[in-house]
Amino acid sequence: MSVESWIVDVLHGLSCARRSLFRAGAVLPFVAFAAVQIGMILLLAEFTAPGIHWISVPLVRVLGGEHALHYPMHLVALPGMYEPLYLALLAVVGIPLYAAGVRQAAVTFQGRDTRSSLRPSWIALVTVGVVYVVAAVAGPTLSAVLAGHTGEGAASAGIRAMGVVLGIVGQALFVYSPVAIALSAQSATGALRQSLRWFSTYPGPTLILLAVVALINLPGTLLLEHADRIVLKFSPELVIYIMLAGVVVEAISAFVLFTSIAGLAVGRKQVGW
Amino acid sequence: MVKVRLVFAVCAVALVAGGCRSHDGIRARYGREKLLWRAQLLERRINLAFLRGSSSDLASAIAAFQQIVDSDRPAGGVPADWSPQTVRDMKKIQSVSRVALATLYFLQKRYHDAGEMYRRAANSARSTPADLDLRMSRVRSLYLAGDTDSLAVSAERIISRIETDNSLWTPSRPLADVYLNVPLVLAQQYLETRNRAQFKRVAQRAETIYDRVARTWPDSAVTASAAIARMNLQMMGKNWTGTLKTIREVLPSQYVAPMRGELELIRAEVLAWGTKDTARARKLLTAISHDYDGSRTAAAARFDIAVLELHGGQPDQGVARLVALEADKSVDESIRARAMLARARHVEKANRWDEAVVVLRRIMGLYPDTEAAMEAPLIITQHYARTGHHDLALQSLKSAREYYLTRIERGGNRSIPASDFTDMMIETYLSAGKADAIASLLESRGARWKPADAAGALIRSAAIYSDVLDNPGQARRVLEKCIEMYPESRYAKLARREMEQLQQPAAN
Repeated sequence: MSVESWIVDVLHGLSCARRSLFRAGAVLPFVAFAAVQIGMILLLAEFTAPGIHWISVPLVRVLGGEHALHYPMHLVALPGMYEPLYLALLAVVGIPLYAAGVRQAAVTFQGRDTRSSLRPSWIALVTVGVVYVVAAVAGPTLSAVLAGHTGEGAASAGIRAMGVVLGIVGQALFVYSPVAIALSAQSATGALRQSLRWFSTYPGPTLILLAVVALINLPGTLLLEHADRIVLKFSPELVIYIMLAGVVVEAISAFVLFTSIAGLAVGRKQVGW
Repeated sequence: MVKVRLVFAVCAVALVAGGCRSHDGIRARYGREKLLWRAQLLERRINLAFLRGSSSDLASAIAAFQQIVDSDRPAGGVPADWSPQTVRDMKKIQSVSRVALATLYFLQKRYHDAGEMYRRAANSARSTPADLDLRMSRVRSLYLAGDTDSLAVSAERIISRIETDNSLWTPSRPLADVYLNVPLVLAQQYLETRNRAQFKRVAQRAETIYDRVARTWPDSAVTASAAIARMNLQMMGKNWTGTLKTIREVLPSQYVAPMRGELELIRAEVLAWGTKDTARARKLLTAISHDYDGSRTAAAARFDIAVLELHGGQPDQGVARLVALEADKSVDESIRARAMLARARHVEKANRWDEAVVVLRRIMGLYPDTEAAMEAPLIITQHYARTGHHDLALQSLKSAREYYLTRIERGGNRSIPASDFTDMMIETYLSAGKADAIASLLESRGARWKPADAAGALIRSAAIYSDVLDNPGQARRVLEKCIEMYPESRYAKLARREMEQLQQPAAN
C-alpha cells in the first residue's frame, strides 16, 4: 500500500462522486437533510416567531438554559444548543438519508438499479448512525475535557488537535456502515463489521477523505467556537448566517464523502476505472 | 417499534404541555432586548465618533431608544402571566433606555427633554444609589434649559435627600464632591431672582451639610471640597469675614495644595475689596507675587497691587507697575490686556483721552479675544457720546459693530461666550442712543448665528423694544417669532414668560 495507490483510490472515489452529481436521486437526500438542518437552526434562531414559539421557547430553555432566552446571549448559545440536536438528527435522519443517496449514487457507477426500499433497514441505519456519531464525537469530547483541565497553552492545543485526529479515526472506522446497508441491505452488526473490513482495506484513502472533509468544515467550526466575539464585535445575527453557510458546506462535503466512500467500497475493478 | 412510538408520544405530550404556557413575556422581553442592543450599538458609535459629532448617529440612536421608552407598558398594563423575573428585566431595560435617552438629549442640547427623561428615570430608580445621580443630572439639564422653577424643585429634593438619607453618610464611603455644589446652584438661582430670604435659607442648610461633612470625614478630600463650596457660598452672599475664616481654615489642608496660590489670592482680593483692609491685602499680594513667581497667580497679584496703588494715592507707581506687566511676555495675555485697560481708564479719568484711546485701540488690536478688548469699544463710544462728539460716536459704533458681529458669528471664543459679546454690543449701541438700531439688528442678523445665540438675540431685542423703546407690540411680535423658530429651546420658555409679563399690565 503506497501513498501513490492511496491517491489513486481517493481520485477514484472522487470520480464516483462526480458521476453521481448528475443523478437527482443521489443528490436529493443530501439536500433534504440540509433542509432539515436549516429548519432546525431557524427554529432555534427565531424562537420568538409567531406560530413556533410554543415549541421553540421550551426547546431553547431546555437546551440553552434561562440565559439563552435573552438577546444577544441567545445567539452566543445558539451553536451550543444546536450541537446535540444536530448529532441526534444526524444519527436518526441524516445517516438514513445519506444511505438512500448512496444507494442511488451507486447506480451510476455500479450499473445496478436497486429498486427495493431501504425502509426495513431503518432501525439498522439508525443504529449504525448512533455508533458513527458516538465514534465521531467521543475523541473530541474526551480531549476537550482533558484540555479543560490543562488550561490554555500549547499542551491544551495539542490535546485538542489529538481529539480532532481521534474523531477522524472514529468516523473512518464506521463510515462504511451506512454504505454497507445501502448496497447490500445488511443488519446493523453486519454493516459495522463490513465497515471495519472496508476500512482495513482502504485505511489511507478513507482517512484522507475524512481529513479533507474535516478541513473544509474547520473554518466554520472555529468561527462558531468564538460566537461570543462575533456577537460583540460584529452583528449577533452573523452567527445564524455562519451556521446556515456551514449547513450548505456540510451537505456538499457529506455528498462527496459518502459517494466517494461508496465508490471505494464498490471497488475500482467493478466500476471499470 | 411500539417502544419508539411511545417515546415519541411522551416527547410530543411534553412539548405540547410546555407549549401551552404563554410565552408572550419572554417574546416581548427578547424583542425589547434586541432593540436595546441596536440602540446601544448606535450609542457606542456616537461615543467613538464624539469628536466628529455625528449628528445622524445621534438622531438614529435617539429614535432607537425612544422606541423602547415608548413601548414602556403593553396596553392594559403588565399581563398577569409574565414571570416576576421577566417584569424585572423589562423594568431594567426601560431604566437603561431612559438614562441613555436623557444623555443623548443632553448631547443634542435638548436640555428640557433631557431633564424630563432624567426625572422619569429617577422616579423609577427611587431610593436606589442611582436615584441621586439621576436627579443631579436632571438639575444640570434644567440649569442649562433655563427652567429655573423645576431646577429649584429638583435641587431642593437633592438637598433634602442629602440631609435625610443616612446611607450617604457612611464613614467608609465619602460623599461625591458634585453633591456639595447643589446648594451653590440653588443659592445662585435665588440670588439671580433676588430672593434673599430663600438664599439665606439655602445657605444655612448648606452650612449644616458642610459641617456634617467635616465631622464625618475629617481631614479628607471631601472636607476640603466642602470648605471650598462654603467659601463660594459665602462670597456669593458677600460674607467677607466668613470667607476669610474659611480660607484660613482650609489652607493648611494637603488636599488644597495645588490651588493654595489661588486661595491666597482670593483671600487678598477679599481683604482689598471686601473688608477694605488694603494694608494687609497689599502685604499678602506682595508675598504671593514672590512665592508663586512666574505663575498666573503671581501675575494676577501684581495686577491687583497696581490697581491698589492707582486707587490708593500712588498712581505713578501703579501705572509703572501696569506698564511693566504689559511688557512682560511671560504674563498671560488676558492679564496684560486687563493691565492696559486699567491704565486706559486711569488716563481717561486724568483727562488724557487722546492717550487713552490709543491704548484702548491697541488692546483691540493686540488681544481681540479678551474681556478687556470686549469692553474697549464700549468705553470709546461712551466717551464720545458723553462729550457730545456724535459723529465720532457713530464712527466708533461702526467699528464696534464689526468687532462684535465677527465674534458673535464665530460663536464667541474659548473664554467668552457669544452672549457676552452680544450684551456688550447692546450696551455700546445704547450708550450711543441707538436702541432702535440694535433692536432691529438683533432681530434681523440672528439667522447667521448659532441657534442658541440667535434665540438669545431675539429675547434681547424684545427686551429693548419693551423696556427702552416702550413698544410692547413689537416686543410681542419678536417673542412670538422666537417661540415659533426655537420651540424646543430654553428661550422659547423665557419668551412665553416675557409675553405673560407683557400682557399683565394690559390685563390690569
